[in-house]
Amino acid sequence: MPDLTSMLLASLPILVILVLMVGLRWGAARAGAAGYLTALAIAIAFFGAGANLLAFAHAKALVLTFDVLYIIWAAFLLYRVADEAGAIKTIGEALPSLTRDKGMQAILIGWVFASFLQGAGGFGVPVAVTSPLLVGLGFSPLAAVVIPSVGHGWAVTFGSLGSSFNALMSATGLDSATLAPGAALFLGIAALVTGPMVVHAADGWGGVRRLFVKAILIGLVMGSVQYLVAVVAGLWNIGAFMGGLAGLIVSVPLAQWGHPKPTTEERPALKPLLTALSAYFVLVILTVVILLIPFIKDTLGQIMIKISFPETSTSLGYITPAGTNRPIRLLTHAGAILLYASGIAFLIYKRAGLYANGAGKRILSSTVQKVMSSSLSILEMVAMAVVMEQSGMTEAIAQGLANAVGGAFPAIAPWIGAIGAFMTGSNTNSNVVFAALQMRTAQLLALSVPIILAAQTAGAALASVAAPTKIVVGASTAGMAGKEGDVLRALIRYTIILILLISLLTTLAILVWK
Amino acid sequence: MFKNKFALYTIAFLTISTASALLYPAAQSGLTSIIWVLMGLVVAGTILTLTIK
Repeated sequence: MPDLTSMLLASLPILVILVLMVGLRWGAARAGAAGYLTALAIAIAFFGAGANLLAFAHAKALVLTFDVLYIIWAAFLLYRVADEAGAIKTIGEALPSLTRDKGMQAILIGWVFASFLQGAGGFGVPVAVTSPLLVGLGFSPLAAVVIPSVGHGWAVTFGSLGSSFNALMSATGLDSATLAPGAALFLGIAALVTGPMVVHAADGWGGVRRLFVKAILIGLVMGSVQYLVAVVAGLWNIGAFMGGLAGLIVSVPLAQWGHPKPTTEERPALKPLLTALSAYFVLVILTVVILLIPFIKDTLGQIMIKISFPETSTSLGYITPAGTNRPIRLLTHAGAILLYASGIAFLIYKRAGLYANGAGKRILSSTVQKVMSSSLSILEMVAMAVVMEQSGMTEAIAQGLANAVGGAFPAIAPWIGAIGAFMTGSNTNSNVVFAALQMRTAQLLALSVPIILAAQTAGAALASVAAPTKIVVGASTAGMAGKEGDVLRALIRYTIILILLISLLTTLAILVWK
Repeated sequence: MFKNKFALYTIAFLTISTASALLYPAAQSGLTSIIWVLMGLVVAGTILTLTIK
C-alpha cells in the first residue's frame, strides 16, 4: 500500500471521532464506539490484523482501561464524599474571600493546584478533582473543565512522578542528562503561556490584562523550579511536583497583592473551611507519604497486575514485540490513593456530623450511576488506540507525516507526539509509541536528537489534556457528561496554540544548535 | 426494552469488557473460532453503545 493511502486510512478513526465530537457534538461514548468500529474494520481489511493480534490487543486494552478507570471511579467517589458533606459548597463560599477575582480563582485552583496534583499524582486526577471545585465557585461546567485541562498540561511530562519522562528514556535508551534540559525548557516556556490562557478561559481578555504580571510571575516560578529540580538537581521524578508546590507557595500572597485585606466579617470561619478542605489535605498528604517515602512505596507497591503479551504480527509483517503492560500497582496507584483519601475523608466528615442518614448509600449509588457512561467511552477509545498501535496504523500515520514533511520535520515533531497523546490520552503512551521513530527520523535528517525528543514529549504532554479520554474524566465530574464535544471545541484552540509554540521553539532550537 | 440509559451503558460495558477478558485465554490456547465469537460480542456491545442517545 502506498504510504499516503496507508496514512489516510489509518487517520480515518481519529477523523471520525473528531467530526462526530466536534462537528456533530456527539458524546464520547457514541463517538468512541464509531471510532473503534472504523479502526477495527480498517485494521482487518487493510492492515492485515488477524484473530490472535486482535485478541491480545483487546486484552491489553482492557488492562489499560482498568488503569485509567481506577482513577476515574475513585476521583468521583472522593468528590461525592466531599459534596455529600457540603464541603464543596463551603469551599465555594469561602475562597472568594481569599480573592474575589474570578481570574485569580482560576489561577489558584485551575492552574497552580491542578499542576501540583499533576506533579504528585496525575493520571487524570487534576481535572477530576478541581473541576467540581470550580463549578462550586460559580464557573460554568464548560469553563470548569477547560481551565484545569489547559492549566496542568505543562506539568504532565515531569508529573505523575516522572512516568512519562521515564517512558521517553526507556524507549530511546538515552539518559536524563541528555533528555531533561530540552524537555524542561520547552515545558517551562509553555507554563509561562499557560497562565494567561487559564485567565482568558476564566475571565476573557480583560482578565488577562489585569492579571498578566501575576500570571507570568507564577509561571516563571513554576517553570524555573521544574527546570532546576529536573535538570540541575537531576531529580526528574519530582520536577513538576516541586514546580507545583512552589507555585502554591507564591500564589496565595500574590492573590491578595494589590487588594485590601479582607475584614474580619469578610473572612470565612476557619474551622468549617478546614473541615471542608480536609478531603484534599488528606489526598495531598497521602500522595506525598505513599509516593515519596521509598519504604512505603516499595512495600505497598509489591501487589501489582502485570500481564505478559506475546509478539504479534500482521499479515503485512508489522511486528509488535512481546512485553508486559505497565505494572498496575494496586495499593500505590493514584486510584488507590484517592480511595484511601475518600475513606478517611468520609470518617472525618461523619465525625464532624456533616452527613444525614443514608449518606454512604447515596454516595456509592450516585458514583456508580455517574461514571458508567464515561467508563464505556474510555473502554471504546483505549481499544481503538491499541488496535491501531498493534496493527501498524499509528506508525503509518507517523511515518507518512515524517516522509511528507522532510526538512520541516522539527516543526512537525511536536504534532506527532500530540497525535499519539490525543489518541491514547497519555503522554507516556505517546512516548512509548513514537519516541524511537522520532529519534531515528532525527538521525536520518541529521537533526539534534534531544531537541526532537523534547518536542515529542512536550507536544504529547500539551495534547494529552485534550484527548477524548481525558475530556471524559473532567466532563463526568463537572456535570458535562454527554457534552464532551463542547469541551473539545473550547479546549482545542488553546492546545493548538501551545503546540504551535513548541513547533516554533523546536525550529528555532534546531537552527541554533544543529 | 430498556428505558434506562444506565442499564444500557452497564450491559454494553460488561459485554465488551467480559469478552475482552476472555480473548486473552482464547488467544493463548489458539482457539481462533472462539476468538471470532468473542470479537462478535465486542462489536455487538459497541453497536449497542452507538444506539444509546
